[in-house]
Parts: sequence; structure tokens; C-alpha cells
Amino acid sequence: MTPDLRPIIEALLFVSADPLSSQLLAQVTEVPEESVKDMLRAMGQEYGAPGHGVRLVEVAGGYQFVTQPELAPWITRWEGLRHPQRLSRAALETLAIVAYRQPITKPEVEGLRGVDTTGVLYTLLDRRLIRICGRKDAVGRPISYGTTPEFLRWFGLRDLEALPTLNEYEETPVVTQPDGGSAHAT
Amino acid sequence: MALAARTVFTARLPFFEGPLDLLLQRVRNEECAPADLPLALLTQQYLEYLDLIQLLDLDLEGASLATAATLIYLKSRALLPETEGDMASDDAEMAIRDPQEELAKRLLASRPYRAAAAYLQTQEAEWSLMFPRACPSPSSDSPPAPQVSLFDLLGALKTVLEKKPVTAAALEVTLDRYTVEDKIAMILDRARGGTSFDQLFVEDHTRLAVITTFLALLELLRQGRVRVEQAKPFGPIQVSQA
Repeated sequence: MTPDLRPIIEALLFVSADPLSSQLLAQVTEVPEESVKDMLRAMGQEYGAPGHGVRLVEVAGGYQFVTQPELAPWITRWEGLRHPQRLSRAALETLAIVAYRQPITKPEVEGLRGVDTTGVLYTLLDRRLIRICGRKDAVGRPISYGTTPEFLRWFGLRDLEALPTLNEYEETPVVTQPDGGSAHAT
Repeated sequence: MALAARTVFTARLPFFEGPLDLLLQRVRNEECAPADLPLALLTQQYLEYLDLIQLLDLDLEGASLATAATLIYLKSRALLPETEGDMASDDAEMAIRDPQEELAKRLLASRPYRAAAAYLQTQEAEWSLMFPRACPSPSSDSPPAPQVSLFDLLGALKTVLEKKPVTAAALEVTLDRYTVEDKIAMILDRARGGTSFDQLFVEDHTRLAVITTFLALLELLRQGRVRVEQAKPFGPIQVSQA
């Protein structure tokens, strides 16, 4: 007897280390994608209710179980996990430029930032948040950079379109805090 | 004993005495033509100033150097005959413009990205509290691969060089530009997911490309950014991110 759709999806999401797309889930369960999406929506709401240790999120083009944020102190207490290292302001700015302007070359990034970004770009490459995605057809054939799926996962974005448009930032100026918080400038 | 003071270079020219950025401002306001600047005299004074600075071990005021360079550039442009569609004329334009203005323009252009950075910071903070399924720890149970020696690498290179005869490229002489930097980027990109030594050479058969790639690999190994492993003697060599 085939089990219901919901336990199958739940089991697949449990076992996968990476987000699973609705397309993939539809393929595996041999169910139309729309039905899978409906189920995922329903599951998202259920897990959103209080009392669960995990919630269902849509990130990097797929769905995934993640732990509830208020449980972070217990999760990090467990030795199994390293404490994630936050990015510096320079890294965030460079990353923002790459994210919005990809593919973009190093000189173009530096033109906007006004400082040398060699070190920052290496860091971002090492952390797999950006990747080399080809060369620009210009003098010197410079390397161009773009963001990766890991970038989406790190910031909890469903896809690049989930980023606010650059214009939206103009309306509410936001100030980056060095300590990791941020405040809206008045 | 070193003095921590900073001194500003003061130019002493027949028609002007003062710091260099004031001189540049005069040029900008067209009170002073670039072609009229006695730059030989100015340079001599600057060199004497440098000697003095070194002697007294004071901190060098670096902005003068940049301004001096700008003045030399402007004069050289003024002295050269003008040609149509001169790309460098934009540079001259920019050099004359106020550096403050340039900075202000750049700050304005980069503002949305700084705001975006703040947004990303918030997202990062929120998201870092939520954990997905943990990935298996790096110390897995596969046996450690034996060390790859330089001779193993050279042996593998020799195989690659012998295997790939120069193809039809011998018919036309094109100067392909490979730099070690290019190949470093290529190797890093491939190494991310893990690749084999042979895979690094598939696209480019030419001797120059093969050697440049090999040098890039050696450099990355030296820097410790990639790792090479060979499961069995004379077996394929795996290249992965360190």
C-alpha cells in the first residue's frame, strides 16, 4: 500500500542535506508538481505553528527543514556544529555588488568600492559565496564573478529575485552596524 | 629617534608658493596654464624634500606625490598635440576635477550597495540562527590517500604532453594568451568539486597551455589552496580544494 504523499515528502526533506525543489519532489513521488506545491504550502503552515522544533523554508530554489531560530543556543551547544562565521562589512558590500551586478569583473567592483578588493574576493571565493563565471569580452579578458547557490542559502534567499531592487534601498536608508546589527537611519 | 610629525611639501616657484593641491586648484580654475608650470624645478624641490624627510625620519605626506603626478600629467597633455577622439582626454578632465567631487560621486553611486550590504547583514544574522541537516563531518572513513610527490606530478605531466600532439593549430600561428593567473582561476573553479589531473588539460592541447596550467597547479599547491591525491601508484591524480 503506497503511503500518503505527505509522509513521503517529509521523509525526503528530512534525509536531504540540501534544499529539494518541488520539481524534484514531484519526480520522485510521481505526483504532479502543483499537488506537491500545495502539500508543501500546507506543511509550511503546520510547521509554522508553535510547538515545533523545525520549520519548513523555501531557500535556494528548494524546500528544507531548518531549526527554529530560538533554539539556536542549544544547537550551537552541540559539538556537532561549528558556529557560523559572519561576514565583514567589506565582504558584505563586495558581495552586494556582485549579487546585483553579476556577472561583474574585479575592476568594475573596485570602481564602485574605491578600494582594492583582491583579498575580499578571495575570501568570498573560498567560502563559495561567489564563483568565476567566465570572462568578459573586453581588453585583457578579465574574469567575471557571480553568486552561487551557497550564497542564497547563507542569506536565506529563495532566489536572486528575492533580493529587494536597488531602488527600494533608496527609500529607506539603512546603516550597517559593525557589531552585526543594523538600524534604519532616521 | 623618529619624529612622528608629518610635514607638507611646499613648492617655491617664481609665481607661486604653497602646497601642491593649491597649485592644482589654480590649474583647475584656469589661473595657471599647465604648460607654464616649471615642473623641472618643482620636481627638483620635491626630491630635495624627500631627502630631507628621509634624513629626519618623518612621516611622508603622500598626497603631494599624487598631486605632483597629476600636474606632470596635465602638463604633458598640454604639450602634446591634440588628436581626435583622444581617450586620455577624459582622464585629463577627471584629473582637473575636484578629487572631493569624484569621491562624492563614487559614494553616491555605491550607496545602494552599502544599503544592500546592510540588508544582507540582517538576513545573515536571522538565517544563521536556523540550521539545516548537518553535513557529515570531514573525517570520513575513506582511507587516507598516499602522498603525491613532485615526481608523480611530473610523470603525469609527461603523459599529458606525450598524449596530446599539437593539433591543427600548427597550421596557423595564433598568439594565444594564457597566463598563470588564468589557469589558477580555472583550476580553482574545477577543484571546488574535485577534478582529476588529466581533466585540467582537456581543453587546451597546446604545449604552452599545458605548461602554464602545470605551473598554475604548482603555485596553488605551494600556496596550500589545492590538494593532490593519488589512490594508487601511477594511478590518476585527484585535484581538490584544500
